[in-house]
Amino acid sequence: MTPIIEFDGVSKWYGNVIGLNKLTLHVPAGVTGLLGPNGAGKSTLLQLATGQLRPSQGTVRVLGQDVWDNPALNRLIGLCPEQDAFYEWMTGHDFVRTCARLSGLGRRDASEAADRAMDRVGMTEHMNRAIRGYSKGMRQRTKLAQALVHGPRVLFLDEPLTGTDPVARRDLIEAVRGLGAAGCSVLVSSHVLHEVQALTPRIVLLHRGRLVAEGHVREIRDLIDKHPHRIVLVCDKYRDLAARLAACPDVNGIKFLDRESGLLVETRQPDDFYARLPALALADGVALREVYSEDDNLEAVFKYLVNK
Amino acid sequence: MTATDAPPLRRPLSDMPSALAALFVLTVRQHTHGRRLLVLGALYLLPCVLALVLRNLPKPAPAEALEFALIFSLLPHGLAPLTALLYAAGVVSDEVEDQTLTYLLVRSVPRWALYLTKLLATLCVTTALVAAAVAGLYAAIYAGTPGFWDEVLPRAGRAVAVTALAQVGYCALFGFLGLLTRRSLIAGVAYIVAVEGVLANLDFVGRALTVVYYVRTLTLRWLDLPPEQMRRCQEVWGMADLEKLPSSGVCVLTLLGFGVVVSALSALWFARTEFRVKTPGSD
Amino acid sequence: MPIFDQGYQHWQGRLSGHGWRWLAVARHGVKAQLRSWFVRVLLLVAWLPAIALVTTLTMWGLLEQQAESVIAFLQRLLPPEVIAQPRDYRAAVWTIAYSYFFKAELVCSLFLVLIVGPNLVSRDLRFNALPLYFSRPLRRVDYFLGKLGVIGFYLAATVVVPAVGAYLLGLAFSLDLGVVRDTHHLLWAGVLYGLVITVCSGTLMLALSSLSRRSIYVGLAWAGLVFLTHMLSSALIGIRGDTERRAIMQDGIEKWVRDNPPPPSVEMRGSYPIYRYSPPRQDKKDPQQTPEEKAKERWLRDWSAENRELYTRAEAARLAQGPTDWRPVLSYAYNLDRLGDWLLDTDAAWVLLGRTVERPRQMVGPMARSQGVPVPGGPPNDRMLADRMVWQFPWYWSAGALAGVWLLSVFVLSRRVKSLDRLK
Repeated sequence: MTPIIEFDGVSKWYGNVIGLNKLTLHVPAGVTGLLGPNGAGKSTLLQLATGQLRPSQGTVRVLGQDVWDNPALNRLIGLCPEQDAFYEWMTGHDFVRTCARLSGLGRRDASEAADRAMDRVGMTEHMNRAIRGYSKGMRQRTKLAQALVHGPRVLFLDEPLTGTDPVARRDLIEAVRGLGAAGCSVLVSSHVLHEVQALTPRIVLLHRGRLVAEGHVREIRDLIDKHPHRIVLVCDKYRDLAARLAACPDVNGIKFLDRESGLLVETRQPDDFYARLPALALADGVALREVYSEDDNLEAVFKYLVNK
Repeated sequence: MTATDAPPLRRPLSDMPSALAALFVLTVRQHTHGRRLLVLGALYLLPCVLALVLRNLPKPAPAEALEFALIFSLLPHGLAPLTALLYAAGVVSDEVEDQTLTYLLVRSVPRWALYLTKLLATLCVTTALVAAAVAGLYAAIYAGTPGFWDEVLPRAGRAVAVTALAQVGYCALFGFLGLLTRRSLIAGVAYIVAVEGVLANLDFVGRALTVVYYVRTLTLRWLDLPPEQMRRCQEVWGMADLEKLPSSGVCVLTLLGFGVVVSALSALWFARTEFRVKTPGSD
Repeated sequence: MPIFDQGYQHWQGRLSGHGWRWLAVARHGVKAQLRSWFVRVLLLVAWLPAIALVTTLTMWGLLEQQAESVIAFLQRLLPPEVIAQPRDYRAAVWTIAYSYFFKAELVCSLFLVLIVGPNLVSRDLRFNALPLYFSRPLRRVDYFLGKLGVIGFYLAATVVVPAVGAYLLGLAFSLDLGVVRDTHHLLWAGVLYGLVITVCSGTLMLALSSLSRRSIYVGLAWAGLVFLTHMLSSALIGIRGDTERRAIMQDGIEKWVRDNPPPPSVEMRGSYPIYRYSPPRQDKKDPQQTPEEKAKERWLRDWSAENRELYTRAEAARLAQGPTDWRPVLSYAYNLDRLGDWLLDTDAAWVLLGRTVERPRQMVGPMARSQGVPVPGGPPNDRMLADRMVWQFPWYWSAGALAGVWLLSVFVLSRRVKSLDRLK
């Protein structure tokens, strides 16, 4: 698949501080999550991709075009920035319409596009109020609306869920998923792992300006062979089961979880383990109440990758 | 749709003028909403009120003295350059401080055009303000006097033209200063005091580097001043010999040329500069 | 071996009282401003007037010791009585030197307040830091004193410290402890003046800073207040002076020209002749002027003499209005300047120098005039210099104006910087 966003050997430094360090990344179409702790380089990456910054080294291309000093390309790009900044004296509709006009839409087209964009983010009811009276959720939605109003093909969302309440968060996640389904390519940055997990399984992980991992969460996890999988088994006769498991060669460690009445098993061959588990349980008449893995989520992936 | 299917990036002709017009209107709205304009309006009203009061005293101040003190001294030396500094130095820096510059940079407007449009809008606002002040002052000083309609009004119109030319120079200069340094306020005030205030009053070649020099020359040449007023201006400004002063055309070209050159340099600078938005906890 | 708790531990020590809370705020503010190289450079630049002051006092000290090189230089500038008996003029010269020093430092200090002041409260408002301050056991007056302390530190560094340092250096170069007896009032006046500038300018700047969250608007408001009030006051002084001068000179010269019409060869613009450059005579063998040229030259000379006489009369009328002229009170800088002159008693110093200048004129005048040398007429005027160099309106007008501005500033601050329970 032809990448939508391409970073080739990109470095960006501010004086002595390196923001991005020899980053090579190709983001395909669809929704992609950009993950990393504070200081990882996420905002730097987004600012490079939207042409606000110029790379110190390497090239940045979006839709096959160089980004820096390419205003024509901005017609196809939308950015929902992180900062909570508006022309506070404007109404929401006025602000989005102005952004549409700045993107080159005519007066009538801009007004209609603003109506559509505000409707899409669920702000029709409040769009004629001054932005200074908006709640945090409304402000985030308005920011998203201005990013969408000119119908971009690539959308960059920088921490779009920051400070929002659960209802607004749900609505924004739905909106982003809808955009992805409609054919818009979206790159969403966040340091909140479960938020990205709700949006997309495809992630790019940054840490200290470097690319740490890229791809599907599950694929990445499978590739981390340094860390064994951790599987929790909850049952009554967990000590008997433990005795059985201790004899298995692919089990690397067993820990008793007395409070949950279960076991934490570490294994480097999870597939084999899962295949053997029913037989083991039946042999001793052990009734397994719960079986789950702690690793099949982004947080675990992130912890392993960053802390290795 | 993949990148290879994307249509070539060609922008319709209607895009750019429409976007620039929207940017112009946005900038004018930014400058005219809020308390800033009200405060400036009150500040400009003060000399008008003063003129009215002084005209109606038992020993009224002569109109020409008021004209010299308020229109030829206070306005070009103080109010006009401070107005230009307030607005023009913040053309970009206000957007950076408010963190709204991002919304402009990611639009399909070339950076140099973005800067020039904002500067032009700023120039229009400051010129309108100062022009209104000049007109108001002339009305406050000369209303009801003989010759108001056939002598004073045309003079007021020409004074407005001179003031507008001065604003071209000031706005271009302070716009550039606003890009160059975060301490544009200090630099601007120091410039107004030291260069326009002191250097312009020294009778040597260096004063040709000041905006006020050309404003004064145009005042002497264009405004068709009464003899006593002319003499007073020439004496105080050290411009006794009109023949040694540049012609009106040279003054206009110098001010406009300076404005154009500095604005172009500023636009180029802006196009090449990165603006990194820092937010708490950001990368 | 004891195992120590690594978690949160409650402070067991003694907390200091309210008396020094403001110092924490001030110390932080000073350190924050000192990080800027611009502020550090300005602090150095503000010492330049002090160097000039030290140079002046040093030269005076050497003059008192009758150093030949200094006498040779100064006798071109000063009257002979001053050169001969410098100790009699010591207090006056020191006072005038300090007066000029403080005038220069006033400009530096107003600039310094413009640089360090705008952020002090506006930034706290902008980033909502006031709840952080007032959720501590910090009163509003502690906050205000702390912020004022920041301005006070920088003003002390530029006004008071250089003044004291220059005094001590001048004293050292004088080698005469009698200097202390004659000039010690300058030391106290300098410290007091520094305090006046700090309290007045500092409170005003804090009030302006509390009115806006954007420091650039605060800075422009300050610049506008200082700069524009100065220009407005100057404009009004100019208008008044122009009105009076016109009443005396314009009417006087018009009447004189009517009574003494110019010869045909003189070009006039109203009542004023137009002077044109005329090339030197080509024929040097015949230096005789034509009757027309002589008449023109005579008329122009008489016109100039009349113009000068009218100017002197106009000047005298202008100076006579000095003690009742309210116009300088409109300027913030003039008010501070007036208070400085009052504290230093600059007027008396100029009167002494004026008497020294006028005495020779009183003695020599009649002889010079009999020789046709133009010498200003009229009775001796000891206040000739004082009336021109020092504002003559009452000092308590300035004190009242500054006190009014201070009260207004305090009122604005108390309304804008709210206590925790009233903060939104």
